[in-house]
Formats: sequence, structure tokens, C-alpha cells
Amino acid sequence: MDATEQETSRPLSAWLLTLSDGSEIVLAQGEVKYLEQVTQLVTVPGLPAYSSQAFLWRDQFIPLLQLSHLLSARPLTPPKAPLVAIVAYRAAEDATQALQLGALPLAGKPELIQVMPEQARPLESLKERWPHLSCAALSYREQLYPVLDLTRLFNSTPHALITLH
Amino acid sequence: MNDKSDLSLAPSQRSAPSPDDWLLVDAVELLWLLPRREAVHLGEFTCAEEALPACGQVHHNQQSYPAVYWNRKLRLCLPEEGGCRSALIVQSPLGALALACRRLMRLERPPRFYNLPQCMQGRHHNFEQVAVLNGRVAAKVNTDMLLERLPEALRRDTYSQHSSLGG
Repeated sequence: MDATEQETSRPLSAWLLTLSDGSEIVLAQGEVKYLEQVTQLVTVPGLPAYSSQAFLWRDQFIPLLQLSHLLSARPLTPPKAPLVAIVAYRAAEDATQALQLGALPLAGKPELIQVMPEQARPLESLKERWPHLSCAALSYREQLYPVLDLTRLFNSTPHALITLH
Repeated sequence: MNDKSDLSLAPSQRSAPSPDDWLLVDAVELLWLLPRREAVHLGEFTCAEEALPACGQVHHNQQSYPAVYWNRKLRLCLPEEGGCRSALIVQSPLGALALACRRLMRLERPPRFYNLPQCMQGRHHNFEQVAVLNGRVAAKVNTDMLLERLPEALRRDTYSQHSSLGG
């Protein structure tokens, strides 16, 4: 085995997150920055329910995306003080810009897992609308997980994202 | 913030607005923030016989201004639907219009504005910047954008004039 093969077959760290609606997703280790219990949410008028809430955190305005409202016909009522994962994404395709922060509501603490490149699966193997929101699929413990595409999710206007479905 | 009546805009009580003076317009479904220098006059709605749908009028200095009420989706509604009886005339380089207003407040300090991320750019509003005041989101007024959204029939009655507040 040469050096390149050794490099590609090294395990990678990733977070396995259970969102507040029970769906499970995977994010790269570096994408999850903080866990917070949010005590005050604000609502921006005129937006679909999945993207209408936000909160102030360390003097930043953080959008909270409720994927259950986007993916399910029967969205959940969000908790008043949700536990959220504050995640980092790059604005648009401008690599020179500072990372932006967004948030996803959680059902519990994320689990740090180790995955191998060979656990990747085709995006099309994901069910329902997940391929539109994901950049990869991953097989882990005999289950298939979407690897969320944060840049697309947070950089898409609600109209653009809903039109995809 | 201070809760101020329309007297805060009366010429006898006004002082030269500083760039740091901001007003909060409570339009029931939406909150607007605007620099005080853009505010011209707060007056009662009147509806002329020939008034167009979704539009009241506010008279000031022998001119009439279309007075409009936007709902949370920035769709024009009858001002009465919003429970507003007055409107604040606001002035921009492109013209003037009157924003339906239930309550007008002067802020004690300039608000902290945040840019909205792409995922919160609504199809109907395109708010550029917002502030959070007492747990509610208030949008910075973009008078030119609002003027563009006025129907053509209303826009032709809207013309520029200098603010009576000296702003």
C-alpha cells in the first residue's frame, strides 16, 4: 500500500446528529461549531415556516432552519427553548469570505463517529427529498445517512429551495 | 425605547435630526425602522371618493400622499385591515409615500442592524437589514423599494418634496 492509498483509507471524524424531528444526518467534524440551548427565538415575517426563525448569539443573527417543515407534510411544533447545533458554512462560492453561522434544532447531543471513504454511497440512494439537501450519502451501522449540504441549504433563498422539491 | 406620539414630529417640537435618530413604526404585522430625517409628517388617513383600492391618503402642505399598509408578506391591504388610523409620510430621493402606522416610537439609540442571510430572503420582501427590538424583528425601511412596489396608478401621484422637518 503506497502513501496515497494510506491517506485515502484513513478514518474521518464526523458528527451524527439527530434533528428535532427525529431524522438523522451527518456533518463533517469541522462544520459543527457549538451546541447551544436557545432561549429566545425571533420570527422574520413573510417567510416559510422552515426558515422564519432566528436568534441572536454573540452579537450575530443566526438563522435556525427547521428541516422538518421543509421535508414533511406534518411539521412539528418547535420547542420553546431548543437545543441547537450552530454550524459553519461558506457564503456562496466565494472561498475568501469568512464562514457564516447557521443553526439546526437537535433532539439530543450529537455523536462523534469515525467513517471510512468506502462507506460513501451514491447520493441517489437517499430517499424522498434528501438528495436535494445533501452533498453525499453515507452508510454507517447498516443504515444510510444524508451528509447535509450546508452551503446549499443556507445560501438558497426559500423560494429557490422549495422550487427544487 | 420611548413611546412617542405624533407630537414628536410636530414642527414646534422638532430639533435638527441627527444621523443617529431612528424611529420605529409599528404597522401591526410589520415593524419598520427608519432614520428620523426621512420622516416628514404623521397624519390621519382620509379616503377620498376616488381613492384607489388598498390606499388611503394623508394630506400635508396641500399635497396628498398614498398611504399604504403592507401585511407580513408585503402585500398591499386596506389600511383599515391593519388597525391603523394614521400614516407616516416618508421621503426618499425617488419620492414619498405614507406608511400605515399604529404607533410611532423614537429609539433612544441607533439599532444594531443585521444582514439577513440568503435563506431568509423572502420572495415578497427582500428586507436588506433587520434589527431585533423587544423580541420582534424590525426591518429597515427601503423607501425606494417600497415605492417600486406601489402600483403604477399610485406612483404617478407620488412626487418628491423636501421634508418639512428639515431632514
